[in-house]
Amino acid sequence: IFFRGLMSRSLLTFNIHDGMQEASVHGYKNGILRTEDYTNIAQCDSLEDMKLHLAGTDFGNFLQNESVLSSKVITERALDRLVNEFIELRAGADQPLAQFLDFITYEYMIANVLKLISGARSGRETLDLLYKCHPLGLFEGIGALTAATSPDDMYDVVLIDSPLGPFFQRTEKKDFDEFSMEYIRSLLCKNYYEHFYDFCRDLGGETWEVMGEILEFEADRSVITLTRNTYGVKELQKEDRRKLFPGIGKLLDIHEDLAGCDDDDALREKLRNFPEFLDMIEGERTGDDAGLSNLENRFMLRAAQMHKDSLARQFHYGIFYSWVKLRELEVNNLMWISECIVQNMKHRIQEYIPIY
Amino acid sequence: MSAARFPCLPSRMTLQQFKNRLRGASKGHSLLKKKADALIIRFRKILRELKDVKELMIQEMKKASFSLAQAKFVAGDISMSVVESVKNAAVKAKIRHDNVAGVRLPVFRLMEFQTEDMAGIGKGGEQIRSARESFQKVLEMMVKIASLQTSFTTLDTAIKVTNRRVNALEKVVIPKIENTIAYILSELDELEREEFFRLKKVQGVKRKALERDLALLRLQRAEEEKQAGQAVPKRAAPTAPDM
Repeated sequence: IFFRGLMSRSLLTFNIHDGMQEASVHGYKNGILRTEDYTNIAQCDSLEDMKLHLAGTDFGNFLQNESVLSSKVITERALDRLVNEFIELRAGADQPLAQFLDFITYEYMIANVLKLISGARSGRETLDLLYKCHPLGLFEGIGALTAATSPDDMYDVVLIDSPLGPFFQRTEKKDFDEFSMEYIRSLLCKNYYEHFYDFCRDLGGETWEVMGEILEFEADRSVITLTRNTYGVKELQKEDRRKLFPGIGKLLDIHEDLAGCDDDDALREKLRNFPEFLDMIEGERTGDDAGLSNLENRFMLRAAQMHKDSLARQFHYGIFYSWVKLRELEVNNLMWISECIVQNMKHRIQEYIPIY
Repeated sequence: MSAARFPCLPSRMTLQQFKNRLRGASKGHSLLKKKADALIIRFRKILRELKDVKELMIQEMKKASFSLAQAKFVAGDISMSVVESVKNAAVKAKIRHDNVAGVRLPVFRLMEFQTEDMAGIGKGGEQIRSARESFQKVLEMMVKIASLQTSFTTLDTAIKVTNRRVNALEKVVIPKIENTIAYILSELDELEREEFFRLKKVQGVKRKALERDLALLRLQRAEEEKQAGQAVPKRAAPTAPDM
């Protein structure tokens, strides 16, 4: 189903097809909040102040229709803004860029579908859940999912024909019954990363260079976090754990070993030859576990750096992915700052992930 | 009120009964008073603890909701995976009774935390765990507050009831018994006086009769002497007839 063939875009032909889209993204990129903006909004005493400061940035009056401000409202509106811009880009996109943009949304689709499945499992009203879905991950068939009564129905009737079909095909059906949602989520994410990786390799050129690196990092990151978060979980044996590791990335060679790790020391031992990851985990041990020093945050910082690098280059599709991710991070930062303001925890407000 | 008394037949037996009742009532009164004091001491203690825990709770709540924000920051929307992972109660509370001066106070205790689940293994597991820990702390505190609060209300009603009993004994029952005793005593006195008067009266009547007899006798004697002076001058005087 993927468009192989006229995949690669060279310097010569890139602008003919995707120049406009790329230009828009570079324009949007300049609207990403900068350090000065963060310093300003971090000094706010109330959400009203924050709204005022944000009005001076590219966010503009995105909150103008809100009578009551809460961190949830701010987050949702900020996300809406991202979604609208993304939909605009997608609407004007040529193949294979359109396919690439769709790939970006698959990640959110997976999350949404899992939400619905878990809803169906626990017998809750799936229609309500539809409203809680991530707006980037809505697709045509998703409404039909709500009609299915059991996870099996969902799988057989809807998912097979949806864009997510390929991800599900690589999972065995028994996984659905036996394992928890979190396990399935990880399994699907793994499939997603692998598919996306293959797709980018098919696209070739600059895109492959940039995206390959990013996706490998994402895969390694998920391998390490999966390992660290499942120390000693009984339901997750070594083989099952191994199944969750995406088959890409720098750590590919030691996946077998990593799957057997049961504490930080073992993990460090295995990562001996990978100083970049080792440093991150070492920092974990010395730093206090709250704040910027914890592992997840350092991964996020690192990812933000990679996305920034990707946005600095031209003639490739990685900028779209990076832009979406950075904007998502920005929404997250806004949530963090507004939560800090609401909960009166100003001393922790500096722990957002700075972007530019 | 003070005029009120129990309906009774004033007699020595009932007097004895009421005296017993009075003794019982004052004994009960002093016991209940002691109980009320014990309850109040406990009540004050609980009040103090409750205040401390509630103040602490505010802090913990703050921390917990902040750690939730932290988890959301790293892991995104986690509500679904959390809801999904809930199958049966992870925490159970057990109830035990504490006895203070005969009042049963409920004490709740938390049982078994089942913490093993896989929420957030992909992303933010650590933050989710720490959020869970801080919420568990809050839960423990809430259970503590719950048991303190129920003890508080239970004690409150118990104290009210006891005080009412103490007051009832002190202000109503005991005065009433005392009144009754006083009444019986006064009635008995009255009876006694009546009896005394009656005796006196009888004595008076008797004396009068005696005097009349004596006078009659003397008169007879004088007459007889007059006759004997003429015929037989020496003869013994007859004794006064018995009454």
